[in-house]
Formats: sequence, structure tokens, C-alpha cells
Amino acid sequence: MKPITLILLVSLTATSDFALALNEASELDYYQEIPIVLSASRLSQPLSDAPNAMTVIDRKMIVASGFRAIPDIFKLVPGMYVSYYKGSQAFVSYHGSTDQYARRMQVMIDGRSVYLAPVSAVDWANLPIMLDDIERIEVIRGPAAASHGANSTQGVISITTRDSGSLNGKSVSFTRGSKGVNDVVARFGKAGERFDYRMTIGYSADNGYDDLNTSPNGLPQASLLLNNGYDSNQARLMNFRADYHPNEVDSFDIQFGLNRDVQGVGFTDKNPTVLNPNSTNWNVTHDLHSESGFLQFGWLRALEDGAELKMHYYHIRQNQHEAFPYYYNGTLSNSLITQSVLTSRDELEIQHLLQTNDNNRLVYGAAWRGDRTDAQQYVDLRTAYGVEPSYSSTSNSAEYRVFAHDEWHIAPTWILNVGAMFEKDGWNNSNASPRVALNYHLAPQHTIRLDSSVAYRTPALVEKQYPEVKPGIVYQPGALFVPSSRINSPSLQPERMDSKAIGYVAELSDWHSTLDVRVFNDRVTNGIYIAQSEIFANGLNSNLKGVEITLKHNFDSDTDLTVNFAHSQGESNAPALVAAGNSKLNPADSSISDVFTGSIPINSGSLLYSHRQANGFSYSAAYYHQDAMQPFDRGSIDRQPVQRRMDARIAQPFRGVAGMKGEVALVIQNLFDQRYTEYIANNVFDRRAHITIRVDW
Amino acid sequence: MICRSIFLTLFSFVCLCATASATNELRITLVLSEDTPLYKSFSESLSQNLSNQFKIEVLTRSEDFRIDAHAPDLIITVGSKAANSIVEKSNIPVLATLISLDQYTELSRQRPHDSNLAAIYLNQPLGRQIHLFRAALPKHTKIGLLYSSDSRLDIRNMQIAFAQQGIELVAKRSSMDSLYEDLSSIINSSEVVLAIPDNKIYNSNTLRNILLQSYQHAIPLVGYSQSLVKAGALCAAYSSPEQIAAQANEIVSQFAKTRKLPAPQYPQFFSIAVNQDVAKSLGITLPSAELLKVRIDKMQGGRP
Repeated sequence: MKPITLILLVSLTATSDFALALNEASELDYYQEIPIVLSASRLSQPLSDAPNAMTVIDRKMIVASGFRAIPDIFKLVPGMYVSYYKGSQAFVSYHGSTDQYARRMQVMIDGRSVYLAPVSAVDWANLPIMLDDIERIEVIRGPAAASHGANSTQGVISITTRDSGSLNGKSVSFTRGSKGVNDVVARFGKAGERFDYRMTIGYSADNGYDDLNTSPNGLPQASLLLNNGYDSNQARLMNFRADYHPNEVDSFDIQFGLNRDVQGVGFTDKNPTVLNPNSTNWNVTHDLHSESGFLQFGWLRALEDGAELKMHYYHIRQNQHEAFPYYYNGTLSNSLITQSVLTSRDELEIQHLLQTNDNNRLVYGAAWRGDRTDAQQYVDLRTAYGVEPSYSSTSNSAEYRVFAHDEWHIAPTWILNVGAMFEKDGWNNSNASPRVALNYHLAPQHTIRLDSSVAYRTPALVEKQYPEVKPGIVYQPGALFVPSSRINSPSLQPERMDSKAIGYVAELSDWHSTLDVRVFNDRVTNGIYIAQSEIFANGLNSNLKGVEITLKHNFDSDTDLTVNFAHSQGESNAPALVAAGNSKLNPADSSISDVFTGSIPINSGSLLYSHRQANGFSYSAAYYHQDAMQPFDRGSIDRQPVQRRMDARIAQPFRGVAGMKGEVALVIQNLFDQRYTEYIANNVFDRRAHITIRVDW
Repeated sequence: MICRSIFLTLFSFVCLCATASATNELRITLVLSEDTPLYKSFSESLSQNLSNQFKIEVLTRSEDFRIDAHAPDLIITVGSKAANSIVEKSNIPVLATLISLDQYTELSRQRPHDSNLAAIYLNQPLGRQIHLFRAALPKHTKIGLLYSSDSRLDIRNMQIAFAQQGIELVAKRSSMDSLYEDLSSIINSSEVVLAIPDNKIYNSNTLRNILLQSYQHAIPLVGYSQSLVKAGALCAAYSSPEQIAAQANEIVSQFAKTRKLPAPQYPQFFSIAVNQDVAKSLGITLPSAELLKVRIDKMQGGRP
């Protein structure tokens, strides 16, 4: 023991001597080689050179918004529709027009695609990541399959988590608020010489929306008012990231995360009542248990002349299960329905970026992705449907893709972006998704962009294999989808998006402002819709035209303003499909002629103002507006009236004992209590507040 | 490399022979800190440019220096190690090159009030730094600066000089323990970070995360070396070994005439490095390196 201590002591002294000798800056500081840190793939493209319209939400905006849940952040993206099916079941869709499983956007976290089978939707509450882990979010508005892979039809949400070196120390925060908000987050990390890491451990809970006894909009309570009172959420999660850079050219990152989440699901509306003693409810209130996890490994090698080689592999796994009784003809069952869905995804992608000359940059690569779903249901259905107690289904699919994207600065004022992706999807469809964009710098601070692209959305597993206990008997109890073991929509093809847009970007540095305008025309052909008795079909063709504007202004380096506005108008062949007998596309309200058009808010906008003082005190205010709309597949009672909401946040830093520092922040959402309903009439968003105390050391 | 060494040795030898006859000719010994490309690029550049009437001897290892009957008239040390070892050993006039201002200050303590000691610093003069800011980032008026307790910067004086140009310098003393916290406070309260060669703050362990953090907050970092700009800093004024050698050449010519060394001086010749990729990504319109150089020269009124 002693010799070791001695050696340790000696070596420690030796090191400090060495450090002393190096105290003054020497010629080595001036002439040492430093590995390239901000390499091409780390640098985000300036708006004026990008081939797409893009919204960037950075850490400052995330904090200023006061939001607690990740999906809410997207309210700060023009044209984005964020809503809640239940308190814990958010969905995010660009340009409205969706059911509660928005599945037309690619969502990525550090390049990991997180929309999962069988629904191809994102389970936001079960992502193993906390808001505190996010560094920035880039949202590409419009299709971007050429650079972001399959299913980037409406747009791409790309979340970048904070570098492991960004946290050097420990931090704990507690949040308490109305609606049972109760969060605890502990974060710690260390930035080292070759190895940085950060770790987040968190607990997040809330009670969701209040239960209502009466319909919020005065309409008679119909069976379609899903009484969502039972929609609490408790998530326990962890997220780890480590970056290792052993030498000057290679850097590796390893990440993993877990989320164990319990969500309250089900509804009470269909429970037997005095008036309706013989009703059946296959989805009584119960808990849905979800466990998700991922492991990701990335490698980046810097090559000569600004070239890069990049590779990633990840594995995602989500296991969901639920067990609950049911009411059949007014009687509570004495056995439980049990359902479980296990889904996993593996992806390997490799890409090469090279600067072919001073004016041309090329990225190309290839990827393989495997998706697997194992689902089971157990329930004795002999009384109801004459079907044996259980069924299960397994699905395995592999997707291959190759892609290339070239950015060519033809002249100082012209940039041409050309790219394409070729994919063979899990259903053996082959698609080519090209993109062309031409940017012209009218003047140094003014850019016009013309872009045109094509993208495909592969049918989700449940769209091809909708839950069916026996041919013709659709049966989907509870919250989970147990895909049918047979393909009941066999001829379903990918839907196709054609997008054309004109953009204008002004970077008015004299005014400390940027203005970004996009005029677009998005056309969907072969659109997938529910035709008859949960059988999906192609053929919903729609067209959406509109304009989106973002204005950012910095009053000074501590005061920012962001204003977003979107206006859009759609049309589709839904009325013609209804006339041809597709009753599922019948609008809920006779005042609406087209179910597609009616489900898109014509105008929407947001505004975020934030100010930080030199002493650390900060305040911010946000305002959100969304025109009235009729959710795509809901009844008239669920019509969403105009939404107006103002949020405010104030934060005061403090210094504690022993060098501890911290901040107290108060957030009030819907300050003026302008109650509005979300996707389901029962989801009334009223005034609420939460307070967060954070201590760093 | 070997060829070059042989060439240099031969060259020194030839010089030695050629000048042996002339008694009054200047004898110079060039002492390198190490036999590495950095120091050799300096010595090659100087040897090629010096008038061939001087007798030059090159020592690639400072340990090899011996005071003997043929003591040189002038020693040029290349790098800090050479400077430290030579100044200790002799009283022969020394021109120290590739040395920082701080190191020179330390060195001059060993020979106080000695006019036989001169230097060309590695540090760029403050005025030039300010001109770089004016030329490259005319709209940025709040500069953040982190320095360690080891730094001998006269912060007050710097703040006054920047203030005269309408620039606020927010300076914060930091240490390894609070580095990232201090960095984030600097980033939050300024529009651009000025990095200085202070290895308690900026070293190979920290540069990566400093560059990443400032970039993530969209705050550009103005550096002090060419390779720092390549790594991700926005721009820097720097002097290459060749440029400093050219200045040394001028000093030697002057010394040959007067046998007196000038006062220690800042580098006269310099270049500007810019990282246009970083500039573009941060939405900054940055003139080319050449144009920036012309503008800074103009601001300096032709003065170095």
C-alpha cells in the first residue's frame, strides 16, 4: 500500500512541477497543431445556403419558451400543429391533417430515427431523453428524403443533444406545478482531455388533463367525447453520452438511454350508465407500461482536405404492455385483456463527405435498417366474436438505401443543391426521391431559393395489417395496436409527396434581423386513408398551398424576438371519395365540405420575446395562435376552436453556500386562462404554472 | 531532412571558411530549441535571406553551445528553450525569437538593464488585434476574454484601448476548475470571444470543448494561430516563423552596422487567417484574408 501511495505522490509532484514549467505561453501554443473541431458535418448550413426552409430552435429559445415537454417546442415552428390525444400522448404534424398518430415526418435524435413500428409514430413521452439534454432542434419544412432518409415527407425534425463536454459538474433540478407536475432531474458530466461524458437521470410526472363532467363547448356529450380524465404520466429515465477522441482525426461517441413510463389510458364514456346499461367498453381506464431503450455508436474520422467519413449504428427497443378488464353488454369481465407489443430497430449508416474542390461539396452514403415487431393479445372473445382467446403477429422488415447530395457554388451568387435517395423499403417497394434547389444571392444579404423535391412515405405496419382477430372482424381494444397476422390492405403503396417552394431569406445585419419567407405548394398523390372498416387504401390526393414567415430580431445581444406566421389553404379529392361511397371521409360537421381542408388551421403563429439581464435575471413571454379547425378523424364535439395562449417565464439566479449556484424559474402557461381544447374535446388547456429550482455545483 | 541537415552543416562550414579570412565580419550563432520542423523552418528561412557576408553557425541543440575563443558576435535563439539556456550561459548579445512576451519578461530578469538582449515576440500587438476586430467584425462591440492568474495581461489598459474604438472588453479571470462555467458566462455576455495564448485556459485538453461551446451559442471565437482558425476559430492575426525570420534579418543587418540591438519588438510582418466555413455557418459576412490584411495595414497607417 505504502509504496503505491509514495509513487502516486511522487508522480503527482512531478506533474505539478511540469505544469509550472509550462506556465507561460510558449511558441508551442502558437504553432501547435490542433485537430479540426468544427468540421463540415458539425457546421450547420446557413439559412441562405440551405436547400430547404429550416427552423432552428436553440437552447436559449428552449429555455425561454418555458416548455416542459419536448413536443410543445414545435409550436415555435411556423405551420406546425402540436396537439394531445391524452395528457401524455402528444403528436406533432406539419400542416395539420392528421389523426393522433402523426406519421408523415421523420424525427431524428442525433441521427437516430425514432418513429417506430407498428404505427410509425413517435411516442414522445417514452423517448429516453429530457428537454435538458437538447442542444438544438432543426426542423426542415418540406420533404428532405435526399438527405434525411425514408419517411421525410412532410418534413424532418432533427434533434441534437448536448455534447458530453458541455456539462462539467453536477446539477439537480426540481419542478413542481399544477396538474401534478413533479419532475426531478440530476445531471452530471465531465469534460476531459480525451474523454467527455454526461449523464442525466430523471423522473417526470404529471396528471394530464382534468376530468370533465360536462362537455366544454356546450355540445351534447356524444360517444366521441373521450373522457380523458385518466391520463397521468410517470416516466423514469436516463440518458448517457460519452465522446472519446483518442487522436487528432477520430472521434467516437457512445450513447444509451432508458425510459420506463407508465401512462394512464382508456376512457369512461362507454362504461354502462343508468341511461345506457348495456354498453360495451373495450378500453376502460388502465395503465399502459412502456419501456424503451437505445444504444448508439458513432464514429467520425477527419480526412485530408476537409473530407470526413462518418458511421453510426444504433439499436432501439420498445416494449409496451397493458392488462385491463372490459365491459361487454353492460357486464364487467372477470378476465383481463392483455396486449403487448415489442418493437425494435437496428440501423447502420455510413457516409463520406468530401470537398471535391473549393466550390463543390459531395456527401454520399448507404444504410441498412431492420425493423421487427412482435405483438400479442390474449382475451377470450368466444362470446363476442366466436374467436379463440389469443393471437399474435410477428413482422420483420429490412430497408436499404443509398443517397448522394451535392452542393455546388456555381458562382459566388449561385448555389445548386442536387440530391437523391434510392430506397427499397420494408414492403419491397423501390422509390427514388430526388431534390433540386437553387439559391441565388440577389445581394449579399438577400437570397432567393427555388426548390423542388419528391418524397415517399412507406405504409405503416398497422396500415397494412390493421388489427383483425379474424378476417373481417376488426378488433382493437386498449391503447396498443396488435397488428393482424395477415396483410389486410395488400395493395397499399407508398404515398408520394411533390413539393415546390420559393423561399426568400434576408439577413439584415444592420437591423439585427433575419427574415425567412417560404411560399409552397405541396401535393400528395396516392395518399393513404381509411377506406372501409379499417382497411387502408391509396387515393386521397391533396394539395396544400401557403406561405410561412419567420422574423427574428435581436434588440441587443440579450434581447431576442422571434415571430412566426403560417397561412395555408388546402384542397383534396375527399368530397369525391365520399360521393363514391367512402363514408369514413365524411366530415364531422356539415359546415365543412372537405375533411382534409377542414383539418388544417388556416392561420397560425407564435411569438417569443426574451430578455436576459447582466445580473442573470431573465424573463420571457410567448404567444401562440391557431385558427379553428376540425381534427381529421374526430367528431364535431372535438372541433378545436381558435387557440390563443400566452406563456410567461421569469428566472432569478442565486448563489448558495460552498460555491453552489442556481436558478429559480417560474413559468405560467396560458396566463390569461384563455381555455382551449386540444384534439379531444375533453383536453381543455387552462392556466397552469410550474416552478423549477436548479442547483449547480 | 537528412539532406537538409547535411546541407545546413555544409552551409555553415562554407560560411565559416569563407569568412575566416575577413576579421571584421559578423559572426552569428543560431541556436535552435530543438531539431524539429518549426525551428528549422525559421533557421532555413533566416539563413537563406541573410547576407552572405555574415558568418553563421547553426546549433540544432542548445546543449551544444560552448563559449570558446571563437565566441560569436550575436546569438539568435529560436524558441524559448534555447533562449533560456543561452541567456544563462553567456553575456554575448542575444536576439530571442519565437518567444512570447511573457517568456521574454521572465528571461530579461536574468539580465536586467541589459541592452544586449532583444526579442521579437510572438504576440501580436494590441493595436493590431483591435484593428482586426474593426476590419473583420465591425458590428461586434462586446468582446469576451478569459485569462488565467498566470497571464500578465494588463487588462485595464486593454479595456481602455478597446473602449477608444467603441468596443467593450468583458474580461474574466478563470482557472481550470471553473473554466466552462466562466466560459458560458463570457459567452452569454459578449458577442465574440477573444482567445489568447494562455495555456491555463486554452490548451489541447480544453480547446475542443471551448470551440464547440462557443459555436453552439453562435458566438465566434477570434484566435491567435493559424491552426486554431483551421480547427474552428473565426479568424486570427499571426506571424509565421518565416515572417519572424524576415524581421530578424532586418535586425541583424542593423546590428552589423551599429553593433547595437534594438528594443524588443512585436512582429512586424503578419498574416490573417480566416475560416469562411465557420463564418458562413454563423451568418457572418467575412472579407477574405487578403482584403482584411490590406484593411488592417491601412488602419495602421503603414506602421507595422
